[in-house]
Amino acid sequence: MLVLLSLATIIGNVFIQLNFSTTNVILVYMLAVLLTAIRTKGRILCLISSLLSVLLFNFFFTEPYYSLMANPNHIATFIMMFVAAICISILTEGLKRQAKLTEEKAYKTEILLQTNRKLQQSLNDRMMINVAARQLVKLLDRDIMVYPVYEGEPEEPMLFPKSASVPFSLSDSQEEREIARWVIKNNRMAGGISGFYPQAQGLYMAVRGSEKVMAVICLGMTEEELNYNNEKTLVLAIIDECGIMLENASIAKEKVEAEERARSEQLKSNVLRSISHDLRTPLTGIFGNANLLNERADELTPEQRKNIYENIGDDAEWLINLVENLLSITKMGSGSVLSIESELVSDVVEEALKHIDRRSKKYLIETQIAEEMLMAQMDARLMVQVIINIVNNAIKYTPEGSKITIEEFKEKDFAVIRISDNGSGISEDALDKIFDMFYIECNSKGDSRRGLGLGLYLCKNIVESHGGTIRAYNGNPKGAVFEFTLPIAEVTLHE
Amino acid sequence: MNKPKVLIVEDDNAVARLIATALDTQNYGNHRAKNGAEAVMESLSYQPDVILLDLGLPDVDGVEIIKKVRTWSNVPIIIVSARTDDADKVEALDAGADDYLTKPFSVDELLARLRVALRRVRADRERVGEESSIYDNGSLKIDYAACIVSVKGEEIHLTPTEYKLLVLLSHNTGKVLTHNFILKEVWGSTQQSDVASLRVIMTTLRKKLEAGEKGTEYIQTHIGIGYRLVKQG
Repeated sequence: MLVLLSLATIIGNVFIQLNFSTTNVILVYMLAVLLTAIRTKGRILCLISSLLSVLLFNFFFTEPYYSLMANPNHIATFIMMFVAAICISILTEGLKRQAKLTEEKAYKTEILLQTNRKLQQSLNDRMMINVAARQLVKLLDRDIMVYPVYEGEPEEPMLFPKSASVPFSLSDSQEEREIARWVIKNNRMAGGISGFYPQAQGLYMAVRGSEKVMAVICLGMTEEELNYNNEKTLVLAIIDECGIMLENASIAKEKVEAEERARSEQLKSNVLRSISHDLRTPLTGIFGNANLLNERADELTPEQRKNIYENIGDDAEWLINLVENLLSITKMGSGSVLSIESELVSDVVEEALKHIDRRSKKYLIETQIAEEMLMAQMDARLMVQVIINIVNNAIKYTPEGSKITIEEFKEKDFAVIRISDNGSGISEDALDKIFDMFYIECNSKGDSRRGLGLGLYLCKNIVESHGGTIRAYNGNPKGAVFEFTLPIAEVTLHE
Repeated sequence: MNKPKVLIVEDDNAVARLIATALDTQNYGNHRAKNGAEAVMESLSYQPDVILLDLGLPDVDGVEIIKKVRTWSNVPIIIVSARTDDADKVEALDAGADDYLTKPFSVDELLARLRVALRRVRADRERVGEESSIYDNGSLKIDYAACIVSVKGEEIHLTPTEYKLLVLLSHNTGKVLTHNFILKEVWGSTQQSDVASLRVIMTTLRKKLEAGEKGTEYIQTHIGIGYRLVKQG
């Protein structure tokens, strides 16, 4: 200020030397006062600088020069100058405050926006709490503890220390949980002078959605400290924002879950419908044939009787396989852990071949075992089912006497099992949909056996849950090829 | 041995009747027990040569019956169960059962399993009194004293672990031995990670035994359960 005023005095002197009017000098002082007001804080300084400028003007530029004496004519000038200087400084002050407020607002908006963006990027509620709490720690420089709420109960708290070097000041105990529970129930603040739980270690605040408390946040500070904190509004805004985002996320999750439930219900009823339909057909066969034998066995020729026996057997066999597939589906669907072990691939193939369709006797089934011992990670029961389904499928869609080849070999880190036949192959349309649920290829031969279209769907599911892949393609020169992979098992021998 | 006697422990009438009919065609004597209490009584009074045991009985768990019967008798027990979970079969086998059949089963399969069990009974009876040091099964011979294994008269070279494994199987011919049982007996451990080793060694052992004689299956694999050395002839 003094520098500015001295500078103004010097410039004023120069002006006088150049014979400019004293009005210019007044303006120079006004400029000095303005600059002072911009550069400094507080009214007092502005007042002092206004006063000083008047005095300096009086001292240097009015007659008698170099004295504080003045004639009345000049006194009016001084008063006007003083008032103008004060006005300028007050206006500047106001402007400055405005600017500061705008800046603060921009800062808060930015922080909120940043928080909002981070919250939106968060994938789950834990991440959201993490984002909000970290922002609060930064703003308040306090330790913070957050209890996520699950079904109205506080869960294990998440801790956010302000720095790694100082020990964490908040602790989790039965009493603290009790407070958190109270906050959840009453949706109010606790701790401090809120009147509830004044002995609490910090301020307990509800992170609210529109209806319920989504989390409870414990700030390691007293209520007074929060009230005097410049960032209080920002803190509250962040907490509210977090609450709303948590609620949105939980609503979205519920929606997804509801949709999933609806879908699985739909699936279940689809499965049930097609099962009951497909159960009826073989059951009718068994029931009718058994009745026939019961009541008219004598009238039947041995040839006819043999036919009936075979039909009953076929129907029953079909039902057995259906039940096996359904069991596997429930095993996969219930999300139970697969019992994965290192199994010898050839053992599993051999086991599967014991259970394939009785009609397989009329087919030429050939296995080509890998030269070195091939072991893969699998749930053997389910894998047997996969092989049975594919081989039975081959039997179903190729004429009697066809050749079915099962090969196993190693390819990189995978064991490959390839099942091929020399039938008429698969149409291009069918190739895309063959692994879909309930897909059944329309068989032009007209003698196609009924099917649920579950077999290959199940195969795909099982193989993929093992971390393998399955594909179907047409072989060269002809026939269908099914090929699936399983992660190979490295065995360290303990002898 | 005259007419073999089979005890059928089964609560379901239809299945029991089916089994009884199948046994009649083979001229096997049979008795039926409807529940666990009857089963224990009958196994004492009827003195069966083989017990066919359903695991799911109305009064007690089938495994309990196996444990009880095993306290006084070595009679072969074949599990007949609708339970698909391997763990149940393994539990029953570890409790002392010899073999298992999963419902639904074919009559052929049932009779085949019965024949295996009866062969074991016969072999056991013949062996009574003389503690033979020579094991004889088809063309497979083991000289326990000299630690020599031969197939069709040709000596087969086995690693110490393979030999131990074969001896264990031969002492339990016709019986399904679970992975855990074998691991405990041969490796002295029950770590699941060793099951893979067991599979590899079993495969090489089987290859060695069956190389000399194409088409003969000495060792049967029971996926997820264990192995069995089959009595030939």
